[in-house]
Amino acid sequence: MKRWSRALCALTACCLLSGCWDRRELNELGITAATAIDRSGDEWVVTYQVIVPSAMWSGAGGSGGATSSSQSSVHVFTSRGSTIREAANRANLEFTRQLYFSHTDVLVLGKAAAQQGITEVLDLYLRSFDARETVLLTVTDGEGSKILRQFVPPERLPGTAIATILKTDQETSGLTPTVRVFDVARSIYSDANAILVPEIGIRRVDGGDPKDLEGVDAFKTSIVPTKLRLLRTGVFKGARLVGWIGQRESYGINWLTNRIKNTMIIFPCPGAKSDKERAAYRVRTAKTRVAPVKSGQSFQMNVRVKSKGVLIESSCTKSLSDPATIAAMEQQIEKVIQDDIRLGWNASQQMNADLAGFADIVHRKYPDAWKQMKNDWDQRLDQIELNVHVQATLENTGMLSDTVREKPS
Amino acid sequence: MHASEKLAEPAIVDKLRRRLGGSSDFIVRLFHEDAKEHCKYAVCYIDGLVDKTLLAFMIEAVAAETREEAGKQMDLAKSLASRVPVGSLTDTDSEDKFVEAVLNGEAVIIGTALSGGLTVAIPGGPSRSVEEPSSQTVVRGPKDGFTESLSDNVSLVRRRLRTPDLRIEDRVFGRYTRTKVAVVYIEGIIQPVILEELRRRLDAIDIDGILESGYIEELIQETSWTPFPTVQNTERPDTVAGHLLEGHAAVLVDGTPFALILPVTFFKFFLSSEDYYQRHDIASFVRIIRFIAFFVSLLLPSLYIAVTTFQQEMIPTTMLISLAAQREGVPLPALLEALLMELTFEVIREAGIRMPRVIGPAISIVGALVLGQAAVQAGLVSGAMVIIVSFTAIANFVIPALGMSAAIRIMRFLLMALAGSFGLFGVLAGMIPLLLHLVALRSFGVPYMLPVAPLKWINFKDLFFRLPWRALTERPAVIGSRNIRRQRKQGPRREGNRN
Amino acid sequence: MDNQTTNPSGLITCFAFYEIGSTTLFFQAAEAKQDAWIAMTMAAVAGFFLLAMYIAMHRQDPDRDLFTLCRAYLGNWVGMAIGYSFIGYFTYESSRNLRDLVELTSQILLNDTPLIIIGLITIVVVANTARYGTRILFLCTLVLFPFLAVGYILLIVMLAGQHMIHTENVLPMLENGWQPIFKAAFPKLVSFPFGQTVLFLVFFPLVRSQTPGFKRFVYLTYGGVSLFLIAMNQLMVFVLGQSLAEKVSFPLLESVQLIEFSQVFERMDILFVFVLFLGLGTKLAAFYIGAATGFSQLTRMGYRKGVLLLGALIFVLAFLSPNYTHHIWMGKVVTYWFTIFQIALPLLLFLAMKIRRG
Repeated sequence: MKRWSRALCALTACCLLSGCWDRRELNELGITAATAIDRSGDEWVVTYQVIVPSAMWSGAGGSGGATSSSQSSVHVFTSRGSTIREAANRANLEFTRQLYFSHTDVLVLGKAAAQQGITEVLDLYLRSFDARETVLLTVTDGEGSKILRQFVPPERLPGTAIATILKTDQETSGLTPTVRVFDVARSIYSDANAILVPEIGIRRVDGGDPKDLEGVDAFKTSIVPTKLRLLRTGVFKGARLVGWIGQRESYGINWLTNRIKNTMIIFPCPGAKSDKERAAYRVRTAKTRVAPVKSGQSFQMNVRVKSKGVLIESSCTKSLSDPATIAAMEQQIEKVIQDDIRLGWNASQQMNADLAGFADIVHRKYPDAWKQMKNDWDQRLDQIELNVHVQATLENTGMLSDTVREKPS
Repeated sequence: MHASEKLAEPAIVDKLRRRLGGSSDFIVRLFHEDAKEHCKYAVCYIDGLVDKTLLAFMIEAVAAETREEAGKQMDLAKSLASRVPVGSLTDTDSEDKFVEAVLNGEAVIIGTALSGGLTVAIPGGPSRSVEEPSSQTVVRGPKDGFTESLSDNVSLVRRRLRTPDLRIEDRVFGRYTRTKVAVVYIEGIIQPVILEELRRRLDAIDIDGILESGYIEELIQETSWTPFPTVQNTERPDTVAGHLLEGHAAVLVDGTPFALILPVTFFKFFLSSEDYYQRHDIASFVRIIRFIAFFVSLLLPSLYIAVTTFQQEMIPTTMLISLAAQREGVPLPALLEALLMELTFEVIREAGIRMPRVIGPAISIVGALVLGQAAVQAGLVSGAMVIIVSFTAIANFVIPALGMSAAIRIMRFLLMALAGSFGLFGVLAGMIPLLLHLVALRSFGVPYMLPVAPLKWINFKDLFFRLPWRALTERPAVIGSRNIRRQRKQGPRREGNRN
Repeated sequence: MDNQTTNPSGLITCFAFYEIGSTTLFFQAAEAKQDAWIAMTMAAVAGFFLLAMYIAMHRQDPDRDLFTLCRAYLGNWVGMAIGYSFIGYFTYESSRNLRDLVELTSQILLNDTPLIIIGLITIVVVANTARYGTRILFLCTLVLFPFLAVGYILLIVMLAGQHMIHTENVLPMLENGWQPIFKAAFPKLVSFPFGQTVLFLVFFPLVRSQTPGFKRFVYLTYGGVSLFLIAMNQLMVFVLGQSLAEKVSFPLLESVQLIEFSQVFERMDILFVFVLFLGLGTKLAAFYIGAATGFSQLTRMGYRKGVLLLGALIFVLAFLSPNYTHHIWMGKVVTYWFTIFQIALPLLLFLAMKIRRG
């Protein structure tokens, strides 16, 4: 017995001292905040935005968070390869640290890559352990690498900033959907096979130059000449980009797919005499239910929307303390929502893409009918009727019970 | 007395003197009858072991007896008994017993009128007065602690348990130290098996000297192959009394204020007697804090090493960035950094104990902080590591029992090594054998992880939290003890208040 | 090894751990797609009958464990042969669990560490567990039970809180008819995990099972755990959708990876790994102890020596498959064989007992 325990001790000592296989010290990691995937000819071009931690916090012994550091908080570089992983491997030829993808927040797809199809990307993300499927996806009309070079003042980490913009938008206005890699993967395997991906791009303000945002000097001014912004929305069928739709249309689709959490609706006042009389309604809760009903050879989709909210802005002439006015306002709101939904649905029909996910809904309720239709579902979208019914509730009018008006002189 | 006369002592006194090697503290007082050559009585004692006041009484009694006329020979014993206020009297005649008696702080009276000799127990000598215990302090509760005198200690316990069922068994250990040890228990509450086992183990002790209860603890404990203590020790008589009431036995050792309590379970080390003096809600809260502190003290450095070296994906991004920034320029890998810091803290802690009282606090607190800060600024360790190690060390002190916190310190190093090699898998691989070891350990036959394993729901009332006294109607089961009920079920509180 | 009677609570928790085991690792009854829950329910019911048979066997002769029963009722030679085959079955099951654990660790926690090292560490830890004996294993599961419960509850609560549970994914029901369901349920699903309770025939004699509540307790635990397993399995469909659930290696892990809570609770896969470790480890240890008990009985070798020997054997067996795909494929193949041990042999024994006892 003694011999065994000694042997075990020796073995243990060897194991502990041999500098084991999986150890990675924190300062060996190249934490990637954002990745961009482009395609150039036959090659994948992958760009990485790696965080430089010592620029974020003045490391040893100082007070943290000094913003006067002159070092850029991220480092961007590109590598190429015939597969995405090969490109990542090649990165080691020029970068000192091991690329670490677990904390990546955003993946930007260049237009060429998106149009060619991103099945390889999805395979990579699902198969590997450290690339997370919760990474947010965006698409850009051009090259993704350009996006990664831009800073987003006043945030120091642009990759995280983009992700935050996406999430904040989803939470407060719902104009663009937040899409994770996982969602695209699920969409490929779903019946609808179509999904929206937000577009990100650079917008000039007063003729500014995008190059101005690429350096640390971007933090030294209070106004920036160009900005990274969410623009239109890309339509993906399967894993390919097939077109774009505008923000209003994607907003409508978001209503249809129950993705709206909080948003703001501008609506014309009831009995408005001019275009100037508008009011704003902030949605607190919203829920959409879609139920299919078979009608003839096709289907009719009954869409029921319920929303509750408050009035936050008003320039209406009618008195707000009259319940009739409130009811009329609610009707206006309902009309606006309906119009938006129809706008989105029309766009979806035009693109022959089932962006609202009706295919799955139909499949669940009418599996046999679905079996017959599933092969040319996208063409049949024109035949589907939308029956939208909205119920909006205006809960209160805020701190004022009437609108602020000038005295008639 | 004529100075030139050689006072004739009984022969045996000389033998005693020689047996003690002519030690200068062996005093002999001779009492002669007038005009007689040989002395009537010889009183031998060791100066310093006897109580001076009682000695004076005794000498007076003997002197008075000596002066009595030959005709009125009273029994010295009876006479002493009426004069000397306290102390037992025994008749002995063997030389060994005399030696033992004298060394025990008794006075030996040898004389022609006596058939053998008389030993009078008048123990005394320097002893500390009862003070607040130095190691286990409470905010609310009695502040008397044990001293080095066995009889004082026994009296402190006896004072709290004025029941005839409190039993005290005396034993003597150590060939050279002849240390007196008392086994204390409450008859009728304690399980006989435990008592039998204790007696058996005590009888098996054969050693040169017992200087402290720690010797006995190691000699009677279950097995030496465990860092976890299977015998508890305390300086507080109220703790002893409380445990006796729950069916434990206590061993008090002369010469040390630390008494042993056995058997003990793992969870007992997280209790302090103060838990019972404060209100139950605050006591429960503090107890939960202690359990959290246990886990923190055991696992925090290992988890930190494992997560920052192997499983970085678990850290939120912003924290990861700041941790990575702090590690820039640090030369050592996380495991070595942690070991270095831990060792430094252990050294500081030990130095703080040994240092003279005047400088002690200054060095330990300020020094540690300054040392840590300076190390961070010199770029030797990262700031987060200093925080982790300091917090761990502080959490270690939350645990009331020193023996347990020592065990945790040892385990912590083991787990750190495992974490540094295999990450969280290593930590798990280390915790499982630890758990098994704890579950399999026994203390005098009692499973160490009672009442969690084996499961005894009744005892959960006083485990992780303490229910109010009205609810604690049963004694914690120590192998299904007898005499379970310790409270009558209280009747409704508000009787008679309805007016 | 001590044979003193313990109270049944330890056995019950061990039973629960054991049943949950590694079942949540994979998507069971994948052929039935979104009707997996139906298949699992049917398998659970079938497993219930098997369990009832095992308990009845135990009740007939409460002091004998599986191996002694074999020898007593089937004759010495036949009994020994069957006993050895059970030992072989337990050993192989144990090695399969070891390989599962090693693969899980390798893919998630320690990507580059050689499988052999992970396996070595695991088998050493588990051999240590086996050395202590059944009673200690039971007590350990008692202590660890709250951790397992909290782990799973946290997972479910977080998934629910993120609105990731889309119950509509269970529709359309019975889209492909009953056939795939039957194919999925029998015999594969009955064997794993429900039929594996045959191991407890070795453990029943060690506890005070004569109390009237015991039978009820075991059945209740079985029922509760089965419900839990059905729910967890279906959860994977709810979260991922059934096509993805089929394709992903560890669907529950995938679901856990999607949890993102307030910036701090992201990437909680370690929670998943933790609960799986507990389940897998318990199963490993239980099979190991079962085999070691039989081994020491049949060969008259000391228990501890037997533990060492079997440990080495399990370690070697675990690395039979050169890669993960082969290991999974083997699993599918041998499941058919396992029904012999779970149904045929116990049935034979049961009948023999009934005949002998009159």
